[in-house]
Amino acid sequence: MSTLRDWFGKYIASLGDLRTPQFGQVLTWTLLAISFLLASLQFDVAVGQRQGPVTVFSWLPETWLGSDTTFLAFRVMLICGALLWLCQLALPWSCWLTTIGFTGLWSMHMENTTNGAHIFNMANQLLIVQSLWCTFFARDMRAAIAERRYFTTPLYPNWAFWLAIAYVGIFHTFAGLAKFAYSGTDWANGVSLQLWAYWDGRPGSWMREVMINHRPLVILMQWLTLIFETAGILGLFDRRVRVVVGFMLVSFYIGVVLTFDYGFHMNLLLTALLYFPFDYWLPKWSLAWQGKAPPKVVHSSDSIFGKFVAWLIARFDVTGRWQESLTQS
Amino acid sequence: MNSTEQPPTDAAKVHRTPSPTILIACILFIAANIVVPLTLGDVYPFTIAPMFEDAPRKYSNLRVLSPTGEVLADNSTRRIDPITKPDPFLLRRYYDGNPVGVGVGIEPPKTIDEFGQVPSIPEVREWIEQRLVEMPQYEFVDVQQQVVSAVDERRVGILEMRTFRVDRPGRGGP
Repeated sequence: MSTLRDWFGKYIASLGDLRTPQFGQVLTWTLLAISFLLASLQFDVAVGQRQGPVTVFSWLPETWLGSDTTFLAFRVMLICGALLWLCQLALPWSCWLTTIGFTGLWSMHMENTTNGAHIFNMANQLLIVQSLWCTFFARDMRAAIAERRYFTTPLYPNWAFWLAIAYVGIFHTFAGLAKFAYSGTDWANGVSLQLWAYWDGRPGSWMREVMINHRPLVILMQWLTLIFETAGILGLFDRRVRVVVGFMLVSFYIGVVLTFDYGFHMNLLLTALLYFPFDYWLPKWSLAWQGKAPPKVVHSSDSIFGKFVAWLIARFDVTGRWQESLTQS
Repeated sequence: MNSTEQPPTDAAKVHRTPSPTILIACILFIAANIVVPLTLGDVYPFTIAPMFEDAPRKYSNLRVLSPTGEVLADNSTRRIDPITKPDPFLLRRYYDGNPVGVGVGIEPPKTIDEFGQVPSIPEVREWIEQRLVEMPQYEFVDVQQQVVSAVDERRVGILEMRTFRVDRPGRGGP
């Protein structure tokens, strides 16, 4: 019991540990790419009886929910916020502008449809996590960017990383528990997944063909899905467990993406980013790159172009390699 | 490496104890993602991710043909029967892996389709007859019902094909 208490105490104590922000920044860039993807989508508005609440924006007047103006307003917020955030400008307001725009735009879609999919929930919640990080570190971030030391300054706290892992864990654990609660162990009967693949699988998909013709394999796939989805939250507690669970979840998403057109690519990407040790690899790769000779780019820091290059490097040089070149020139 | 160990960085290990505000924000975020889905259900962006929580063992596709053989309805896939198309016989499959109507703002219209269930011929006949009352241009329609399920120990496919004619109510005999 005391071992568990020690472990928990150590865990809590390390919430405030800071690392250089390579991982946090790559996660933000990934979410911003997803934001631009969402902003580019067109949505149909279904006609029918309204029901709800189904989104955090269901409280808006009914005339607003199906209005083109509301769609446009959230789309503009999303695009403007994401562009500003990408450029590390107006922090942390740009983060929240992006998050509200993202939430609002997909909410408007969900408010006006008879069919939905959980393809943006994860990205949306992780945007909130990243916005929290930026909110509480905005001053330090702005100072580090101004002094061109953003990627070499410990600015990414463990609490932000574990909050993201906790969300992805909860998301998958809920998905597993929902299957257990609704269908019990009969969920992994093999026929159900075969029927989904037969009915809604992409025509011509080799994975669909494999699934509809090999029930023993499909039963195994369903059991692994049930076990490892439910185990998702365990990734919070140990890095090795996280990698194993992550490998199985990513395999599950690859199977889904190869078979169906639901658009779970974002969940695949985000789960891989958070459950594989990219938080360990990215700073390591960055260090390795910093040891290499800087590229030969000569520019004057007084010219407009030079200032622009310096501005870009301060925000995007995740390796720190170009930064060295800039300061030496 | 356990989760409390740090990845290598070029900077010395730095620690900044999270403020109470940060801890409260984190706790609220986690609590909201647990409590909201469990109490209110799917309220975007909160969810319990109920997609494919059911365990169907069979379903059926319905196809309706006019007296001249023209296909009037076919609910077999969403590619053939997208939600933007008219659905005069109310056969559309709104099921998309998620529980029908959960997390969406527009209540799905009435339909005979229930993925996981196979309506009997009398049930389909009665359903189509009710729709034909409002379609005087058709004296009758032909209905094809595919029952999809396990066909042997390894495969799924079309287990049974039912074909039957449905006359418009009140129409005289042939």
